[in-house]
Amino acid sequence: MFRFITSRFLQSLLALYVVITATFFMVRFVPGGPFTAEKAVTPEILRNLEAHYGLNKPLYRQYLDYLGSLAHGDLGPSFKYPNRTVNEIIGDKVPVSAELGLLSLAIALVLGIGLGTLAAIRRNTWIDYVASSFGMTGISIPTFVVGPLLVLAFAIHLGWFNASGWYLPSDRVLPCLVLGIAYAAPISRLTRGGLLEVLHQDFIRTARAKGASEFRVITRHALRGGLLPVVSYLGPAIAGILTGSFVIETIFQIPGIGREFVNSAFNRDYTLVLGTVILYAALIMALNLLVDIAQAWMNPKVRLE
Amino acid sequence: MIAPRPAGSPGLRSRRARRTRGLRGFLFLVLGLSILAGCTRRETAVAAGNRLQILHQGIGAEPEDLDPHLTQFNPHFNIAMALGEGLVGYDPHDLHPVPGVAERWEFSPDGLVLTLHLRASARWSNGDPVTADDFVFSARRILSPALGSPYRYYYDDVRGAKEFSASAASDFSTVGIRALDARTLRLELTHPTSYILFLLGNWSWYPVHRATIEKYGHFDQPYSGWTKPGRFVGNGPFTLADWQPGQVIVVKKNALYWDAARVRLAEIDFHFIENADTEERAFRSGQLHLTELVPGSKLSTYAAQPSSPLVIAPFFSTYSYAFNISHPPFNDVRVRRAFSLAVDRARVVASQPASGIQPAFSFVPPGTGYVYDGDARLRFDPAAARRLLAAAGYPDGRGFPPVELSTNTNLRHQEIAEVVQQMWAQNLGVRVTIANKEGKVFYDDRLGGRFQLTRSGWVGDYIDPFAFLTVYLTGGGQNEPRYASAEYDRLALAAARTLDEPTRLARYRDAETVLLRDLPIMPLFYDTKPHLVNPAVHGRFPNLLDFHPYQDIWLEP
Repeated sequence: MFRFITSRFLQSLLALYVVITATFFMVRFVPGGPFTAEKAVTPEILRNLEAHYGLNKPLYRQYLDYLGSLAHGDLGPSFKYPNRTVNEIIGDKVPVSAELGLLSLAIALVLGIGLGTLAAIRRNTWIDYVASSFGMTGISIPTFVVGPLLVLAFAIHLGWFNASGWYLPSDRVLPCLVLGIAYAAPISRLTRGGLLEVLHQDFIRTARAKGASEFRVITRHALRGGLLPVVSYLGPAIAGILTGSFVIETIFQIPGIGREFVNSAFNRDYTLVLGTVILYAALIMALNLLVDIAQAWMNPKVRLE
Repeated sequence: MIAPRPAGSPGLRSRRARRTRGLRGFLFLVLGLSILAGCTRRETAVAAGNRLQILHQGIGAEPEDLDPHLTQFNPHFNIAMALGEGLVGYDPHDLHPVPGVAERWEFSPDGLVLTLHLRASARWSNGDPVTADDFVFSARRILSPALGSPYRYYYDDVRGAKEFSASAASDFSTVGIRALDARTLRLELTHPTSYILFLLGNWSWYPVHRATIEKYGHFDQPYSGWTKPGRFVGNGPFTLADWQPGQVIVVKKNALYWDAARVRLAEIDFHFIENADTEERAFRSGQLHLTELVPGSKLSTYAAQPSSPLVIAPFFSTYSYAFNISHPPFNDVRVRRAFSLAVDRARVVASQPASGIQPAFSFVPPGTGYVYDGDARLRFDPAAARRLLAAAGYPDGRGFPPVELSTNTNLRHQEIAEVVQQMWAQNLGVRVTIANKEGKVFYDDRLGGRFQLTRSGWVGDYIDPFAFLTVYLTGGGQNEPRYASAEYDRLALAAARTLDEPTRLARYRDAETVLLRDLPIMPLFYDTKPHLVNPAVHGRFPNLLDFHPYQDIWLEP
């Protein structure tokens, strides 16, 4: 186990280095730069700005400088928000995206596993049909449709919530619900499928034969195996909830990191692009590792090598 | 697959039913709790704002900084105008210059020297008096090459300013800005400039607080962080109270402002909302008094409403296409004119219903007292267009090289490009492809001259035709077609330096006639600036530059 984690960690570091290097050079070769704007910048102003950010040095030098400061945990100044460093921006915005992501994940898990389980144990009844249609609808309708619809109903017509912003606790409800539902839908389908496969297996019959209550059979025996597909889905899903929150953050004007991730590329904010890419790459690698460990714990057939 | 139907003893079944009921109950509880949090119709931000005189305004994207010398983008001028004040201010109706920090001023008879008398009551938000030296310091700062201000050209008419900002010279005494005493400022101009007073009201002429700037960095260091809340010192009707990254900038009434008695708003919340649809929903749910944008798809719906919040003001802006006049086929003026004559501008305007845009028959938009009439060069005349194209060697478009029209990715630009593309195909037999480019790529290509035909557009900085005609002077930074005409330069500059109004306007007409004869650009329509405005907002008047001094705005449902 220890060897597995260490070797995976080293592999991740190597992958991260490749990601950083590739991103560093790729953003530099995109046409347009951080100072390109609708209005022309005079050559002497451009020279001053480039000197200020060290862009006048040869590219390999800038790359080495960047790696050097990265080793000290310094992601550099932002080009778009010159008063703030990338570290500050990430520090400000990651907690917002994390709050949005974790609340949505909680909703997705409760709703998804709950509905999926109901659908499985009441297979081919109206409950199953309702839950399955929820799953299909949730998968097919994108968040940029569900979001404005919920805003229309609950913010504009009923006036219960604000249509956008991230100021009050109640401002969390609509965005988390929309993002939660989007992920609850596939989770409910995976749960249903996983449970159905498990429920007719011998060990479940054994459990029932031994007189275990139905509740115990489901929660203790069936779900542990039935949720395996959900767990392997959760790795990329959690990363997706955090990275893919760009749409939700835009619809609801949430000051999260998902928007910066996308906008920094449009702004050619070289340092912020790199900062967010490093953050997400590290996040995805960590989550995948966690998923592997969780799967091994849940399924004795999976062994960590 | 076998359905999981456990042998159903009644006991088991009812227990299972209880469990599922429990599970269902739990789900409803979670849903209910999450909704309960905000489950009553509360007082909206707008209603509370009306009570407390707090204006909620959408401002588009978050500003980079609040330094008035580095402010670049249109909506952010609003924040600059709340936090600072220049020597003159603007009348909210037609923006004519009114006393600001200067209570009066006089020109020398030749119009080359302007002496301004500062009011004794002008104060910084920390209580320091605003002096003539503050303006000299600020001018030196914005003209310093190291600061890199994009709006230095607002000082171009001041003697020695251009030369100072182009060199690394440290001797500011060569620049014609002098403090005669603490309350008297003298400006020397290189030539008579009719609109100089208007420029003095712009944020690039706002004073900045020397002690604060030097506390956080060198005087000409950009983005030193002196504009953060708690540090910022300004001289405007409002002071900076809070800046929540990604969300809002809050400014509160400045009790030390010399005209504080006139200011009725207690606070302005500038909300950063980039997405027009999100902003419109925020407006409808009562979070905003004012929006920066209105989604194009919603214009017709709003326009059809009785007592609509939609306010469409004419805007000092012309939407055009620019030709690359250095390369074939557009190096031939006959081809350029054919392309222009082949476009029915009324149809272009009709493609944007309820937007209020007007077909352009000149480059300078109306509204300044200047009217360009006597020329029909921008009319729709497909027969004449075909004749010109044939004369240029492309009868019925035969043999015309492939041409690409560049726009940046935006639904409106795309729609307009398609309408024009169709007219060119129909009336000239020419196939033009549309290249949608991502913003930075588009601007990079356009400024670098890497285009054949490109979307272009201009918003005047001050209310005078020269704000437009200056663009196509030889070597100008925004002169995208790289138009160079000594005749045009001479006429336009002579006009700008004429103080007598009728003579000046007549000379502008001569200059514009040359421009439209050579046609480096083809104007399509005069643009507008739609906003959604809550009826409780008073004292805000549509004007050409979309400037709305907050001194005059108040809320009353």
